Amino acid sequence: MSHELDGWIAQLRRCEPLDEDDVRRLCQMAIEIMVEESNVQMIDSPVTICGDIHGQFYDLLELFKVGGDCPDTNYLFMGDFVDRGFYSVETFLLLLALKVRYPDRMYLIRGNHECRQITQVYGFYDECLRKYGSVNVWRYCTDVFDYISLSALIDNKIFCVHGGLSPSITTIDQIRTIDRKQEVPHEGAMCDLLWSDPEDVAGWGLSPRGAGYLFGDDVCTSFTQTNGIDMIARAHQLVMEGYKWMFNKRLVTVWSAPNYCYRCGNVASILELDENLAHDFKVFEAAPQEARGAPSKRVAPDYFL
Amino acid sequence: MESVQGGDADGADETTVPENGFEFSVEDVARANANAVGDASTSPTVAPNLGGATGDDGKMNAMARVKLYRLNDRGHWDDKGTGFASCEYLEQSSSIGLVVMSEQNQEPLLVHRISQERNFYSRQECETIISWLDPELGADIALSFQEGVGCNFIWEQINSVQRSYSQQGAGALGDNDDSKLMAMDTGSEFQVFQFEPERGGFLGGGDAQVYMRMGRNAQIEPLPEPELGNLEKLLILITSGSHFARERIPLQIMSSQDYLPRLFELFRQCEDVDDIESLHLFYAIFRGLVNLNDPNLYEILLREQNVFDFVGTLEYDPEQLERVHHRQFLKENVVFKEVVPINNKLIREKIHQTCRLGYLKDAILPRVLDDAAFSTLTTMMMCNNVEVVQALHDEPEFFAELFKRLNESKPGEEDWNDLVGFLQELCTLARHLQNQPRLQVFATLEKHGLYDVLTDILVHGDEYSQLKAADVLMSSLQNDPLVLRKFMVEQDAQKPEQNMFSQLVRMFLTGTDGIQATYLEILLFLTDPETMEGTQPEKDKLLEIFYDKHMESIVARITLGKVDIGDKDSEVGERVPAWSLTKIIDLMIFLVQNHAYRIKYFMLRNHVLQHVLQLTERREKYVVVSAVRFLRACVSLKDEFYNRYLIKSNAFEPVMQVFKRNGDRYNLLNSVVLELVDFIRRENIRGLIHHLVEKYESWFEEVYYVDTFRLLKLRYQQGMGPATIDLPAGMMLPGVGVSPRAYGREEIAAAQALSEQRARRDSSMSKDEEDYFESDDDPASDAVVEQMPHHSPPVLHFQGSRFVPPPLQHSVFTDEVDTGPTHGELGKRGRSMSPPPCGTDFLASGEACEQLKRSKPVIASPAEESLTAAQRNAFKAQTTQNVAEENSEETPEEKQPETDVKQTANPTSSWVTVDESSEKS
Repeated sequence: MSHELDGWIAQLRRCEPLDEDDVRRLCQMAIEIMVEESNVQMIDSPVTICGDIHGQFYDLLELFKVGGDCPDTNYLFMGDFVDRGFYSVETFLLLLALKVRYPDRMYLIRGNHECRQITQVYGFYDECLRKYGSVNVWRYCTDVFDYISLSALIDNKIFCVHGGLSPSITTIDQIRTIDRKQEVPHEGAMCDLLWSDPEDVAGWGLSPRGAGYLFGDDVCTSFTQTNGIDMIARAHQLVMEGYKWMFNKRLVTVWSAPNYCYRCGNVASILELDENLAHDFKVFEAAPQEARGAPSKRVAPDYFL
Repeated sequence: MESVQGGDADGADETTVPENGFEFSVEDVARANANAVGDASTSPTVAPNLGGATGDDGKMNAMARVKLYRLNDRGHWDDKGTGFASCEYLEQSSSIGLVVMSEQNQEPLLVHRISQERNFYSRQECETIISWLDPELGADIALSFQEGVGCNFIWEQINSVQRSYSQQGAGALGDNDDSKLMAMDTGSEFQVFQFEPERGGFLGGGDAQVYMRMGRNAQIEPLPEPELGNLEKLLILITSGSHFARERIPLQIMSSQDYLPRLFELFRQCEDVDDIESLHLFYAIFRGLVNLNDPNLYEILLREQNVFDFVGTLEYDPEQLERVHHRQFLKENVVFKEVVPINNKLIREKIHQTCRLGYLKDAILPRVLDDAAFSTLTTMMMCNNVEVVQALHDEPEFFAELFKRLNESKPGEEDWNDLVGFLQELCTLARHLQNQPRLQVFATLEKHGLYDVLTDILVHGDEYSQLKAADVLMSSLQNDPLVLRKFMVEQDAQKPEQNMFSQLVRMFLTGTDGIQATYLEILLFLTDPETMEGTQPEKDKLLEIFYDKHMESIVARITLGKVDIGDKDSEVGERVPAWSLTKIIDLMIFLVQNHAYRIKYFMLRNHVLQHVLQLTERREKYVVVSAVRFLRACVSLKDEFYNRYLIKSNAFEPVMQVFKRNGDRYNLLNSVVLELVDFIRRENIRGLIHHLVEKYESWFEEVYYVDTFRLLKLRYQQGMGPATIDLPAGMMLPGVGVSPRAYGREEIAAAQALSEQRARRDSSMSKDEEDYFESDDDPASDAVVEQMPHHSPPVLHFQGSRFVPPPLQHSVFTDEVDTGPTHGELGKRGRSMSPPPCGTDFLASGEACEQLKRSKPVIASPAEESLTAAQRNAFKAQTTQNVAEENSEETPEEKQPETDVKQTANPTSSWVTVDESSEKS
């Protein structure tokens, strides 16, 4: 099994997508592992925290270059693996294969793009269709999405989530009673965790995104105090410098897609935490030599119309 | 800052309201044109950085010629003179101003700082008048343009200035040190700077040419000869000329018979001698041409005689490590399969062109295309497809021939597979037709025996063709579900075995994973009461067949699923894969939620619940979770009939057992059961609370890690007071430290409206059914039910894909609107927020396509077009901060299409925090 997995990982590292049937098997293995995971994953330091990747495969390789390879480095990816970039399939499958191969060294939590509706609009669906000629791969992957954990807690001190807080969640324990195996809902705790944003508001505000909430310094402070944690790490928003502190360093946004959408000109970062939870941001730029727009080998070559 | 000078230049004639009031004499026009032509002839052809190098005469042209009016106290418009309007950078106020220079003495007639206020300016009448109430002058001002084009131009500029203001805040422009803004007329009493030197300015010399082109006496500067020495010049022209100069390049290229051929000839020569430098230039030139975004030019470039040279140039991307052999791919790997001869040559050409367009868009240039070019290509493909489908439909014998061949060839053979593939593509494209033609195409297909052919495919086909058939079925269902339903009912009467329905069910039950998921979707669509127009679900013929003939085999499959339990090593004939079981349970959940009457009766009679719950003993945890979710679906109906049945049949026993066995391990199973129990408490479902507490109280101790069971017991002890939290579904009780006031009244109202809407939809039980079950309900529990807000049943995880919509159409979330420096209006990706101009239903005929060719597609980000590099930098610096806060992704919920409403239903939609105080009170 691990031999086969290593083969897949090697293949994916070359940015070659797996065969449809291999994807199916990989996804089943992943589900078997993920169903055993908790809504809040307990992670021990040292670990490196990463933000959105968005299908920028070659930049993900760059990330591993900067942060060290898995399993030498432990990783936590805070969602949004797919959409927008040109290699969502390869990106997600590589992360998933690493997860299955090294379940205790690679942690994935769900982002708002790990969702059927979003992926049908922002590229992953189309990409699967284009690369495989059927939507099967998209179905396998989106089935996995439903099992991905919602958040993580590092050494009981750093709470990690894709979006942010929810007015219906006061304590981290409450997250336990969410049935996460579902499409990301449009409201409620699970939705908020994946969609909310920190903002300079007092208390809670309506989110311009139409899902989740804006939460202010006071909310963040009260949450960290109530739960006895040091800070919150999250992703979800593009920050040009790759990371951004807010609320007296009680919250940090980590963004790991350099030159987002291949044109935003931002740098990316990952947050390395050592055994003592000391922070070290590693900032990196887009991969310089990405094979630009190389046609996928799997472009369906026959056409009737 | 604001001033109206020289108002008397033309004499302050009192005129009536200026609409239609702009009458220029012949002399005026002639003079203006002469000015323009004269200037253009002296201005450089290539104008990347005109800066202010050109004389003021450049602004004197007919297009921007305006009369200035001011509304006087008596309600009349005073004519304040004639001049030329332009947008200029005003250094003193660090803002962009609208300036009108008198044509008589070159003195400014009006200097007006462009307001940031939305809807400050209005545009009236024939679109040649812009007016506003000027606060500084305290009067209404109107500009009446000689030509609509000029008015368009200025209007656009005003809009883009407003947009950039709103994105970066006022004043930011001037604060930037990198500002490359250059003085144009330092002599005048105010500093006039060109707004956009990089593109030749709003009204610099480069634009003078444009105005000239738009004028009647257009004189076009020829493109440099296609020679090796001129490549660079051509490239600069294409990539750095003023916007309007670039706009005319396609026309220039197309108007010459031999320009492109000579360019391609040159390219081939360079390729022969491996002149890499020039080849890289060719790449840049053609990449630039693509981004000029001209549909007519695309068409020419993709013609048979040009396409390979064109694509060839794009192989020489200097940034590409390894050359990608696009030509080879197109020539050797891409195969056009003409399964039924297409006689119309034009149509064949269109089909090829579409394929190449797709390749260009998705494989060659995906990352260099800008928004406008991307959406133009998408639109062209869409138009082509529509044209092709309609042309084929119009050919009298084509469909007949297709079906003749389908019926004659043997299933499984290559010919047949190709025909099925063709049929699938045809139907997929037909989906994008407008209503009427779409109905016609499907009607023709049905007339020729589409469904019989599909039945054949389902019975005899392999996996490949079965997936295609599923796709055709989906297309047909989306077109009109009633037709297919009717066919299936009739077919069942004539041919009870091996008909379409039985095949669908069979494949759903025993197909491979992909097949299963696909056919699940079809079954859901077919059995969805919402798509059954006019008929009551309980009277629906198709459902009758489904319950009478097929449900048993589905349940049998579940029963068989238990076989694996325990003795996984023993050889038992047929096994049901765990994966498959989860899909079957998904279907059952949907039935419980949507077929109140039939499924109730069926479950009772066939012990479905018991069979499903026995799957909690499966080794695979995700099957166990599925089974628990089925119980949750029954509970979520909050139907006393079900509740009593659950208690009587001891339905919670296996779930509680497996929960106990799982111990305090925090995994999905643990969470799913906790959620189920929490739901029962939240909803105050008395019978079930009693049952759980009385039966399992001794176990509660073990669940030390959450409040769920403690609170359940508390609720039990309270004797079920009316403690139901009185908030609409979807509203959340604020947690500690959150003031309830944080929620505005509107928000609550909106939530209420939404929950009411949802409640209506959720109560899929008709009046008849309710009456039917009324006798079962005891009045006491009715009262409780009445009090409780309606809650949504759990969402089926696959519902998001139920209709597999063409992506743009059914989007619920509209994710990131903007991306970094191209924030807000800028650089909106055509495929994200704003659908390509040619939305799925948008274009029905060649007419629209023609229109596309005639009128240039709207440039997606005009604001971006009109920012200088410096301003963009300034803006970038600004957004560095703003983006993080404002990166306003997505989702106006209103966008949600009707059909998706049910998707919002989910267990957590009514998630309510534990509120200690309300709990104790």
